[in-house]
Amino acid sequence: MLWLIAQKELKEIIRQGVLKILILTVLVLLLVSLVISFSYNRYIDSLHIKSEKESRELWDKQGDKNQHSAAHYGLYLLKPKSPQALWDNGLDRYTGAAIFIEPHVRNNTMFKAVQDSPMLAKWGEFTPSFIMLYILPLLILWITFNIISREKEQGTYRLLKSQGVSSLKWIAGKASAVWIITILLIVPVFLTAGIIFGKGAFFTVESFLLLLTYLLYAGIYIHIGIAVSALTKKSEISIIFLVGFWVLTTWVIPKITSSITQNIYPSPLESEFKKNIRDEIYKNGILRHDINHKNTIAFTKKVLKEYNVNDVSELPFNFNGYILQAAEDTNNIIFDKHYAELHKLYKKQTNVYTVSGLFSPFILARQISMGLCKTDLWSHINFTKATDEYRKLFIKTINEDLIKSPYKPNQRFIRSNDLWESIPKFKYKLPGLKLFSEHYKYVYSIYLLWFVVSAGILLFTSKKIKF
Amino acid sequence: MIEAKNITKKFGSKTVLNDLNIKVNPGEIFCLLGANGAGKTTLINIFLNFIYADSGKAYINNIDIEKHPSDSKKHLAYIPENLMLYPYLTGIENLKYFTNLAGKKYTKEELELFLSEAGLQKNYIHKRVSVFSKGMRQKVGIAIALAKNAKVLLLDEPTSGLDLKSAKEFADILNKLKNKDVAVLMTTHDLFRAKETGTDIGILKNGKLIDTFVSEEINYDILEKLYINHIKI
Ligand SMILES: Nc1ncnc2c1ncn2[C@@H]1O[C@H](COP(=O)(O)OP(=O)(O)OP(=O)(O)O)[C@@H](O)[C@H]1O
Ligand SMILES: [Mg+2]
Repeated sequence: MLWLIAQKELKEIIRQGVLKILILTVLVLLLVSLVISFSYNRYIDSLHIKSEKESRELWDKQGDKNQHSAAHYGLYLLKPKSPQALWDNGLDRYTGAAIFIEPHVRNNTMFKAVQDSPMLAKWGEFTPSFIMLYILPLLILWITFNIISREKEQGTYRLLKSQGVSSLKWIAGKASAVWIITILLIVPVFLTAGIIFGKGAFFTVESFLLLLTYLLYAGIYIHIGIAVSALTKKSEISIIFLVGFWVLTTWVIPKITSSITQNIYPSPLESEFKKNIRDEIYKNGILRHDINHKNTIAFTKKVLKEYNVNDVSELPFNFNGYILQAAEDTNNIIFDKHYAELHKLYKKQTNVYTVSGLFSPFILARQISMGLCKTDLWSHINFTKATDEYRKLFIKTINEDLIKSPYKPNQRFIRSNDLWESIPKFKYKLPGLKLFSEHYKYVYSIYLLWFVVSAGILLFTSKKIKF
Repeated sequence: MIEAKNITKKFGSKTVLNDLNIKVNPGEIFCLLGANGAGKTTLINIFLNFIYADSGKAYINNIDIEKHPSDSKKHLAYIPENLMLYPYLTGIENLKYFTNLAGKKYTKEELELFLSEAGLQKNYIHKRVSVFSKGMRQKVGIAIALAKNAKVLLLDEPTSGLDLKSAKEFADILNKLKNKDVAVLMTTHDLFRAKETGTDIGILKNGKLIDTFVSEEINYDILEKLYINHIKI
């Protein structure tokens, strides 16, 4: 019975020229967005790989130098893209993907496409997830808005009712038809794109969760679309209501949430954030390059006293290296503290988004999509944390070499390529599902709730219009 | 069997059916006459649960239609005055869909036979309904009702839009069904057909059946005079 009703709906949909064209249009848009996204990501990735490699080669071959001067030469580290990033570029355009590591400071990422190449960044916006979360719902609304009300308007409803069909089956049959179209539209494209563009690396749990996320999102629209069509007397009212829902949940509520978040938990300006750290380091840290600073003098005195000597040259190690590392250790605590506070603030901000997801499934789907594609804030932070760990190790290795070097006042010790090359390469693995579940378990729960409630509304509707 | 007991239905302050009683037994064709707005469609709509009576009870095959709405529909077939179908489906596809919904399964050949029996031209069977005339749609409706094989027929001006030949064929179909012990309640404005086809004739006025006749016992001219008199006032 279900299949019978679904079959008839499918026949009608396929025979309606307009709908056929709309479905094909969405399909073409999806394919185009996949190709664009793939080319864009490949271009960015090749750029990244090249810069990281070049940066490391320059580092390795910088020749004879003092250790600390070499450290100041620095290294570029770049965030790789996940195979899923094909579907959602997320925040990558805003967060940037490159970090320059050097002594004394923890830098923020650079190469933000929005700043460096706005034209390219615009293209980066036309992602498959944009099609899935903005365009596909409109197609579904167009298919569903009159799927029930049409029967009342064209007069088939009466004959139908007289045949004694159960309204639950009737509505379930209609929903099945729209589900079939949606699945036929999404799933083959998703799998094919994974095979062609993902080269095997694509088929992971994340990818299937991503597919599920998009299907659930479509499902919410299918259920709400049909329910509204059943509960309104006229198709015109139904379409107004549904488009209103779309505008509200995909545009208005996200905008409101964003401004509410900025009001309750304002993000600090980058300059302000950096200044706060600088100020605290000036107050409590060690400023190696400012030998007249009170903390530098105090530290030197403390070391001299500890080793019971009168001059740093009498110490059993190279004091230059020793104070450099001490400055790193002390200042890193300050950096870590400020960054931890910043991340806590980010968490509070995203919590506001999670709550507003109760009113907009779009907000949830968007976050989940970015999370699974590893282009979200938490993946970004995961990367910056890894680079900072590497930075600490990198600087420490060089400083420790310096500590072991003989101390000669007014003369710098020189090291050569073998030391630079001995520094281990930066190896970064993208975060796995653990990070995702840590940050998205509530988001996904509310998301599932949306789906279940939408299905419940449809069920309730079928009771309401009982034959 | 079709039965209405003390049915009253008001729209606002207007009483359309007033304590109405009617009973159609198997093998009877009851033709309901009445002026425009007399309440004929209202009565049929009540049997179909499209609307609900303010008081009184209605039964299809002794099943209380308000208590068991889907049960009662298993036993009835209905042809509305202006039958609407799915324009994107063909005649036979419409027939197949509606009969399947009622839980009946037929082969393609059987379905084609129902449509021919209902008088639809062969070359229209596989055409989309969007090109059908009102009469053609009505014929598909007749086929749907035939295919349902129901013991009760509720017909609301079923021959409206049919040409003379088709109306005659429809009368023949009804005669066959009568012999199969089907109970038919049919509203019509066609006095001649009512007399020819119906076993019983009733005139609805002021919400009541003011007159009923057995067709065989009344002369057409007398019936016409009586009817015109009734609807004049
Ligand atoms: N849904 C409704 N709301 C208000 N009034 C209604 C409604 N349906 C019918 N009526 C009124 O009830 C009366 C009876 O209507 P009904 O359609 O039953 O007449 P009818 O006998 O079938 O007429 P016709 O011969 O024109 O088909 C009319 O006056 C009509 O205006
Ligand atoms: Mg009528």
